[in-house]
Amino acid sequence: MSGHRTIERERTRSLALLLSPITLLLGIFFLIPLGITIVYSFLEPGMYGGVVWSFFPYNYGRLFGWPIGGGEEFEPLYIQILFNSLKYAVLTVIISLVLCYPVAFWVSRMTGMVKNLMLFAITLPFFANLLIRIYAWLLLLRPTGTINSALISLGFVDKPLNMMFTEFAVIVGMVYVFIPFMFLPIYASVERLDWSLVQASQDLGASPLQTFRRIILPLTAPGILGGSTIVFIPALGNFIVPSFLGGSKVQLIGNVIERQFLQARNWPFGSTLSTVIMGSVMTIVLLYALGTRSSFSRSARKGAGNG
Amino acid sequence: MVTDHADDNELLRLAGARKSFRLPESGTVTPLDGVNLSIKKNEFLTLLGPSGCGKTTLLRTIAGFEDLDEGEVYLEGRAMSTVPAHRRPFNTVFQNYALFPHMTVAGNIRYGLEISRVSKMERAERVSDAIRLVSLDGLERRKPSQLSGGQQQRVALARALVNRPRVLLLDEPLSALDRKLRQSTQLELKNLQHTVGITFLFVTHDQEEALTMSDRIAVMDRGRILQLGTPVEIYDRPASRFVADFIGTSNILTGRLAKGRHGSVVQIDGGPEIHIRGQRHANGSIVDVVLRPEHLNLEKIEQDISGHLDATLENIVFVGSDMHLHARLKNGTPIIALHRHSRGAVGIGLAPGQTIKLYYEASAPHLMESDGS
Amino acid sequence: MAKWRNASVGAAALNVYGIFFLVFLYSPLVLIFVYSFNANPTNMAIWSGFTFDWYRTLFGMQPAASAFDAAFTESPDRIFQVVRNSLVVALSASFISTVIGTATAIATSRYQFFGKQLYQAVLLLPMIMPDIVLGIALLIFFVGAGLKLGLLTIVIGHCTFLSCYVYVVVTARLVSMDTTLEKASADLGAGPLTTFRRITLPLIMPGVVGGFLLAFIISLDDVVITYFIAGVDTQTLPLFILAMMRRGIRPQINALAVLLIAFSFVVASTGLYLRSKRN
Repeated sequence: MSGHRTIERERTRSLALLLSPITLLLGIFFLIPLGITIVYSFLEPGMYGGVVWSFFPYNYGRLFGWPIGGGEEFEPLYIQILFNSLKYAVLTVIISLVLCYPVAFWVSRMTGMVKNLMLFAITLPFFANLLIRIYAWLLLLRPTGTINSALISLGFVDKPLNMMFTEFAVIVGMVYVFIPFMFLPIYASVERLDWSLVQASQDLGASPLQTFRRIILPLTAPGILGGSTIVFIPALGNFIVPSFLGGSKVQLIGNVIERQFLQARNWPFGSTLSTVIMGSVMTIVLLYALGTRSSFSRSARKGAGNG
Repeated sequence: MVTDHADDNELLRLAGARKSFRLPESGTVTPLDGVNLSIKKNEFLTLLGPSGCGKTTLLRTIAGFEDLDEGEVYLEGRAMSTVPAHRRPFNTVFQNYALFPHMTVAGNIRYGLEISRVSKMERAERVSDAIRLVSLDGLERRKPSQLSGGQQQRVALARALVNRPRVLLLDEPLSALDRKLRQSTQLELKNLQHTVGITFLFVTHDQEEALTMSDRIAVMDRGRILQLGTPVEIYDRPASRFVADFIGTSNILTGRLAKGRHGSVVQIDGGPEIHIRGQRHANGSIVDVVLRPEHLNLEKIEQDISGHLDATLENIVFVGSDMHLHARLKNGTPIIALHRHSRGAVGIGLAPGQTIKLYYEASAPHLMESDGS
Repeated sequence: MAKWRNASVGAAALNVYGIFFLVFLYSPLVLIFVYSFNANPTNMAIWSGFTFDWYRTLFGMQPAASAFDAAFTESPDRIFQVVRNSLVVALSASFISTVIGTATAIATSRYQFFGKQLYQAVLLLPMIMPDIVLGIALLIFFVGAGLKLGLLTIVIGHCTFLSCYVYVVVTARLVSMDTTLEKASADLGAGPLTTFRRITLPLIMPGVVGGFLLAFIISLDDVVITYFIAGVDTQTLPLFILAMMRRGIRPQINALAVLLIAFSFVVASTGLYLRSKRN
């Protein structure tokens, strides 16, 4: 009987048709370039830019500080930069988390038109260009900037505070840029919070701190994890913020990669650093997926009982 | 398997329909396990069974939304499995009505006619006919969200019927309605089928609904049709314990048949003897005896052959028009009897704990071959 | 926290904090806005009068005040070309991405197939990867493939991750839609394409348009990826601003920034409004 599974066959054909554009697009212009990056990280840099197609493990070696050839000292410079970048990313996550968390509750308690307007207001700055948001802090923080001018004219200080090209400036810039990313997942979690559970906890005698620690915090954990992940990853690779607000004082891994590609013309080494970022990102994503999967499959199994 | 239709009255036939699939966690599921069904023209046929029995899968296979692994669907002798759903001459009334929210009532009803490119004039005429048929006059411009559940259901009906399908498929269309509306709609649907003259294939798990509306009922369980017959046949002469249990309330007693010259007797294990009229089952075979509650009376019946059961009354449940007497036989089997209510429980002078005699006519018990449960 | 024992004090504290948060969020932008009208050419922090001059110099309607300024102020032609580049790229990339992203969303929300979970995870990767990783990967690829860096490579690069954004937005709409409607349409005689055109597409249209607008803004604003794959000869608006900022702080930047913010906000508001409609 030729009629069997005709529906299935038709569907397979339509499916293939629908998925081919994205598969081709991402296959050719995403997966392959990433693959080439990894390949490049093992190649030897050519004399005037370009690459020599031979296996060259010293890029990774240089990353970890091993000297290339004689005459060079052990220089863990790049490891330091890597850890520095991690430090900045973690700080950005923590600070933006602390700042956003109460706001999520503030907005969640609102109702109706005001609430929608507030959500709109908080999300809107995200759509202003990244450069402009950094530029604004340039104006604020520099010696002739707003803050210093205000402080001097009010008589709090005699000469301008040095805020530009400092760690502080970079952190402020990063936090400002990434707050919208942190806010939305946390807000989603807080919105889903069942307040009757909080009331039940109080009813059972828990103090506000205990209720927070044992009920609210665990229940908003998915939002916290989600927000932290989508802030941490781009913060790790960011070079625009340190470039403008940190100058030469703050060098993060993004800056180094940029230099390797555009000035030093050492594409293999730049690829190495990029591969390291890729690896970190994949690790974080895997951890996140594993972390959410265990709770996910438990609830999925419960749900499957109703099928 | 004969592929030509057996008689001119046959419209749709399923032959050896089989479908199974593998679920990641539950193993293999077989919603259709060898189904053979012949559906006549201009009949109201109901697929009845508990959830998971395959009735909805069967409906969707006919509609064209599901593939068969084996077997075939024939429309007047023509095989249907190569025909995609949108080209089959059937229409469905979905359980959630599936009305297009961005179209008006008239827009929804018009849709099928627009697709088949019916002329504008004919379209307008058929749409207004359909609206009149289901009493939706005046609501043409409304959107589905502005209608009540009952009204939405009628739009779904009109939308399907306006295309003059060979078969109208109805997937539990009344389950979302409240009880009173359900009952009035049941009668309306039955009359509609007579008026329109199309075969209605109706799916439900509500046996009362099936008995009310159908010309024939196919009782299904676990992917098979257990019995096909008129409502009276299914009710009076269930073919298996499952059907007897599923339709109405039954008392089922198992025992051994002993045939005699003046009538037969079934000896219930550790229990009474059931007196019955002549039966075709072999002497000595194990049989299930079905006694409906309405067959058991408190008063003796003056017939030549009749019998009675001795039982202890445990509960009297008053349900308005009747009283349900919950009792227990000496061997512990529970028995339910129905007593027409004329006066309250005080009127029949019974109380829980008393022993009672339940009388039945010898023609009342129905015998089935025991399937060992 | 006295929050629960004295709810009103806690609520008031939260309100105060919330207000401060909003102030923190908006004051940098408001500052630029204010400065763009400040006539003081040397010290923006000191107000010396209201003026539209900076806007005028942007459009070439005012001659430069000094030779330095003349050298600095880009010609309006240059600005116009840069804006045009950005718009061309954004429109093409968002259009292509909307089509591809919508097709992908339909595939994953209406079909089951082997390895679907893994596939969907890979679909999200371009959004997760830091821009710099994507940027240099595409740079290596384009150069290695012999493609000249320019508008085309920018569009291709943008499509790569924009498709994923559209995919996410449209999927949300598709998943919340009642799928029996599509079955009903087929039941009434409509083939798959007709069903898509008359039933599915109208019902997911807010999502599709929202996805398009989102892609448009992201493309318009993109800095890092474009930075690597634009090549020497091509500049988009963000790259232009980047170059301006590197040369030093000038009041003209304020004017340009305000215009850009205003435009982004208008497009974003439209997008957000559409997405909240009929949710």
